[in-house]
Amino acid sequence: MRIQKLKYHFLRKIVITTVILIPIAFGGSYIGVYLGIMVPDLTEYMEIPPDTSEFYNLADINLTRLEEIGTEFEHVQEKHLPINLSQTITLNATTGEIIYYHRTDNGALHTSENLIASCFRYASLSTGPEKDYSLYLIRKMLDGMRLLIEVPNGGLGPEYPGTKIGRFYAPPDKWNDGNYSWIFDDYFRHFNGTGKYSQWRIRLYTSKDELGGYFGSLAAMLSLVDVPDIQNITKLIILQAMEGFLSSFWQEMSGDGKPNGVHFQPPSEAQWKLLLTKMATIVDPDNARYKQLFNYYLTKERRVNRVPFTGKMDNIDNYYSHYFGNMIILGLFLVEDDPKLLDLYFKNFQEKTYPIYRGHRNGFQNALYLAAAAACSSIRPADFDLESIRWDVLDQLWRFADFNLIPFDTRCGGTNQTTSRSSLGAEWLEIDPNIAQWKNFVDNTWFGGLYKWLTYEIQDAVFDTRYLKPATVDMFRPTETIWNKNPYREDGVHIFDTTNNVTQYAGASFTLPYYMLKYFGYLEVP
Amino acid sequence: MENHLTYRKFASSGQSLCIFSIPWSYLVTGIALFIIGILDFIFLGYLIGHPGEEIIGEYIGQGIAVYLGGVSFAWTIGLVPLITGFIIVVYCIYASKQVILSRTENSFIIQERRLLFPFITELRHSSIRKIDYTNKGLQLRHVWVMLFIPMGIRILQFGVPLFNEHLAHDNILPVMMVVTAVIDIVGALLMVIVPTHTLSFESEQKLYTVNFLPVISTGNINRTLVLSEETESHHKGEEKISYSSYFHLIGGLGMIVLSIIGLSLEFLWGTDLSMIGVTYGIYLVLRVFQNKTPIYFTKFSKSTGYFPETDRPFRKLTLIDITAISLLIYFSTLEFLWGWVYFNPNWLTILEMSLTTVIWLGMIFWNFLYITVPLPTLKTLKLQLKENPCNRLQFIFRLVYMVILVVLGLIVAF
Repeated sequence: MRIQKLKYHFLRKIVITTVILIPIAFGGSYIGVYLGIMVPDLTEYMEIPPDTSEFYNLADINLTRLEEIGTEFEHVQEKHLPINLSQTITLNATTGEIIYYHRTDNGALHTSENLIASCFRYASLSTGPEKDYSLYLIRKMLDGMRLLIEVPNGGLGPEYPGTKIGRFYAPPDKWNDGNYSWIFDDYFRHFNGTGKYSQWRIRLYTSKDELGGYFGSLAAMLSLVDVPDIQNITKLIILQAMEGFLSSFWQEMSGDGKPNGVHFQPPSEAQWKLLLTKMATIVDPDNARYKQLFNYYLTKERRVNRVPFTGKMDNIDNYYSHYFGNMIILGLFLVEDDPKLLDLYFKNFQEKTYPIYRGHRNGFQNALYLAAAAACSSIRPADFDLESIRWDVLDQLWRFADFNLIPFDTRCGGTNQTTSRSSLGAEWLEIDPNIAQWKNFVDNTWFGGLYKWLTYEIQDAVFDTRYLKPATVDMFRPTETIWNKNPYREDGVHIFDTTNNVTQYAGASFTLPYYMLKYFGYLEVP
Repeated sequence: MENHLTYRKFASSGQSLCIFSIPWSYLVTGIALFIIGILDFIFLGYLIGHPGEEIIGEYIGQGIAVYLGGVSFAWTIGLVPLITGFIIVVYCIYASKQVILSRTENSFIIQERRLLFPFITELRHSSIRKIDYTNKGLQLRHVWVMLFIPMGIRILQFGVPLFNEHLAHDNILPVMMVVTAVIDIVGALLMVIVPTHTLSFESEQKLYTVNFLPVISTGNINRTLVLSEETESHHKGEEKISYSSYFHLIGGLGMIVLSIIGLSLEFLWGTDLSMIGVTYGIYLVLRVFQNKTPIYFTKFSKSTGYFPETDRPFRKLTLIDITAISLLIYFSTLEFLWGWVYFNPNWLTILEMSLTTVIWLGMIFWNFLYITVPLPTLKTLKLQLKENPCNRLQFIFRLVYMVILVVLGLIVAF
């Protein structure tokens, strides 16, 4: 029998409420300390604009040379597309002959970044052989994009709902090719295709990295390449993806017909659904449902105050997700033509997202801000100084010229090594002192110890060494894209043996930011 | 003698009543939740990590939840039922008991015979000023609705689209998801619909409460528990559904229907609003049937000079009411305003926003009535406001609460 004293009835209610509230308050404090104090403390310095005194003089940056470099990289790209997916290659150091094509888990992303760059190049060139060449590359890569959705779903178009989009594929005749035999191995990510592609191989278990790039490239082709065959295939892919994601409640499937964990439901940011749905409304303007869904995802899922958005947590852990996340944001700015929505996107982007990138010296992120500002120039003024951001991007791009990084390979301009921080002086080796403070807090206090599972297991990069100064182009490994690497962690200590062979990455690290700037009018090439 | 621990059966010389109590609705639900939790882990695996790079378990071909390299679906759909089911079953073992109510010349003796903590309590007649008996049960059990209804619905949302995925060799995952969701929802409803009975004795200093769910009863509680010098006895039989109940019913069913449309068709109401709507709607509808109580009495003792409270002029708002109404008004105001601000016309969006507007106005009006004007006393409201300054103050306070919610929505929207 429960016995309560009436005299203390009110007091007891207070005590019970307090007892219930204590764990809630503790939980709130626990999360609050991490997200509200620790993470901001570890990332705040990344929001400080870079010191322009370390930049090349603007007058010394030769725009004509940059244009030449862009063209050179674009011509290198063809070598990287043996099956229409962009791959890193290893060449014979003497003859320049391709020895092998690297396997990749991010075929869709790397093809997309180069495809987007080619689309910007195509759109910014006037008629002529170079424009035709870009179109040729776009057609090749679009073919790769098409097969990434067609092979696992058995056909192209909305009647084959695209619940699966591949990371990589290989036609049946490649099973005996040493460059591709790996995809014919038994592995949980490897599957046969569907329908007429049942003899093909497809690498699935596809991540958001791939999908971010994939959607971004669809947006680029849709809005920048007004060529009938490109438009037709792009539109079929968009409708196929849209129908696929609608049918699966926005879950990505793997080759066993089961969800792989990737989905665009909250807590995924709204820009994922919005971009694909917006593209679907453009492709099929008579479809009232797509338009209604777009409005629904924007207003009924109450993302108006938070679209587009990427969080600062990724500045210290999973930096790569900024890259593919920003491909989606780029896509939004490319396909949106409603001034009211552009205004909303740009307002949110420059208030909530771009500030966290301001100090990174990341060419792609800075080019994205410049692109967004240009797209919204008649609607909303930019809060940040566009000229200094442009200078930042140009400084990074000019390093390709100054360090002779064309093509971008392990010769590193003849030095066979990247620029290490230690060679630049002590200030380049200064580490964020807050890391040691917070590590001490976690290691040596009882409350801090409660974060060990988070900081040493789930987000195990939180206490990794991060320098105060962000890396520049010449410090990064030239074997992969550089803008998805954390510039505060890069120490530049990479030495390569190029006696017999050289490994080369395609050109998007240069061409993507360069042609974005060019397309949006930031470069007046003589 | 209060909560005296004894396994011995008390032999009463007076009037006596024996009740066998088993919280069967909890027991059935607990067992079902526990079993489905285990089955989820058996059929869906207990993987954590990427297949081939597992941290725990191994991938058995039934998908991965939350994020790439996350966890098997068993963790997301089966873990809560498993733990909750286990706790409920253990509770049921503890709570199953034989309650013996005895009335001697001078006292009531209440003995609870069970496996653990078999208590006996003796209460002097003269000390009791009120006896209350109801089958409305514990308000706390609404927590089950708040926990399992949103969870079950979310599982259905993710699970139903997975049926017949063209590359899937089986439907094990969607079947397990749907079955788990149905058990979550039905279990929550069962635990709330079949309420616990509560018998309480109130003295000047203390409140003594015993809860039970009678399976077999050997007598009539009302006849057994007679107060000496009893002056007033309220005894309600089965009530007709009142206007107030219809009001609850309309509001509750309306919210359920709108929420189901929102959750299944992505139309009218957003996901969060629909989740709150369906949960609160079910809560309101259940309350209608709980208030329609077939067993209920309250007795007052003349000797203590204690009399019941007069009827409240306004509805008593529970914490659930306040939370749900606040979120409903706030979210729906945002959705309504943003819907119009970013309106992009075609026949479907025009239809959606027209309906959204009507629904928003209807909901504001319904909540206004719910908070400020209780229907049964609508006729006397003016009089009550005029005569009682406290009522006037409460009326104003409730109005301000409504206005604040709407204004907050407006501010955030802009």
